[in-house]
Amino acid sequence: MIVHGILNVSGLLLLLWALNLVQRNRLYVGYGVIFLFFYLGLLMAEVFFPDKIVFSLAFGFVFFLLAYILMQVTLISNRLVAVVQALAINQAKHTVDRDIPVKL
Amino acid sequence: MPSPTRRVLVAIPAHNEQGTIQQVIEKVRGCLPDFDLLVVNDGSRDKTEGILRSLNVTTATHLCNLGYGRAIQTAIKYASKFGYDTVITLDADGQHQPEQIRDVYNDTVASGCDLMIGSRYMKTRQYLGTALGRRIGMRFFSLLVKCATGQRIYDTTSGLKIIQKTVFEPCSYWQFIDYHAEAIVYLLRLGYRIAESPITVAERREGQSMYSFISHFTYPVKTSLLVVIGIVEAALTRHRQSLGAL
Repeated sequence: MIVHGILNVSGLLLLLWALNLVQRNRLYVGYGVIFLFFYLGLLMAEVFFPDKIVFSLAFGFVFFLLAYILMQVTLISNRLVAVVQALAINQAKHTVDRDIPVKL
Repeated sequence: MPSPTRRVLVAIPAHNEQGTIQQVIEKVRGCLPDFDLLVVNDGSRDKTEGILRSLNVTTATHLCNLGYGRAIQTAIKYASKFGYDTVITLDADGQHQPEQIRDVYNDTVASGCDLMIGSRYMKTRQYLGTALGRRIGMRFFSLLVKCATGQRIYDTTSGLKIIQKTVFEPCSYWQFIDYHAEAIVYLLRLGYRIAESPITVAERREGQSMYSFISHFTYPVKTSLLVVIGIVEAALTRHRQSLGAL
């Protein structure tokens, strides 16, 4: 019971931290909502399901969230690469502009 | 035979190559005066950019370091945008000898292949003169390509490549690490023709290799994974093409 209480308070503190990040514009509001629903979902699951299932749900959520974050990082990275490449190509200083036949 | 107006771009990806870049550019200009030259400055932090400016060479500068593969990709995109027929890539560390490029290019034209690799090991068919770890890697990737495509490519990691216009699109679309085994397998599985032409290389004199200690372990895993995914992607692409042709 004490362990459950400590975990619930810890979860609540983490949730408050996430919402604070949203308030300070350090976390997208959509992700704040995900954390909120996850916390409420776990509270409800605690009532109806045994600990093992609650742990599995939490683990699954963390895994999903990690995969999602890495996906977003990859997406941003790909966009950055595309921008840097386009900029490099468009700003390339052309010193040669010719069309000379190739000698073989 | 190529048309007389065939446009060829020699592309040199460079990252912190202040010690060798000038010599490489001067050699390329001397040996290949009829080919255009592009240096992709991949976020160099040393004097490379200043040297390039003083040499008045066409330069595409990455604002940050994107890596070798992305630098090659920039060169291909550049060539595609400005209507080149061929891209020749070579390393900025002075290992490749520009005087050999003409022969490799002529081999490419004569064979009609889509990608020609300047091969260090084609003649001997052995990986002599390289460190043991590198030798194992070379053999592994060569066998991997053989298993995946049925074609033996002896030098999968060569930086000297002649890329024809026919493969510009797949080379800029699909993700490659360094355009090595993963690109070779992907293109071969798509039905493009790849061949090797013998070259010799000099030892790196200055600058640092792009492979760190950690990458000696991560690179084979990443490349092998991309080879497998590339086989699947190539099969799906061919399937989509066949559906589109109906």
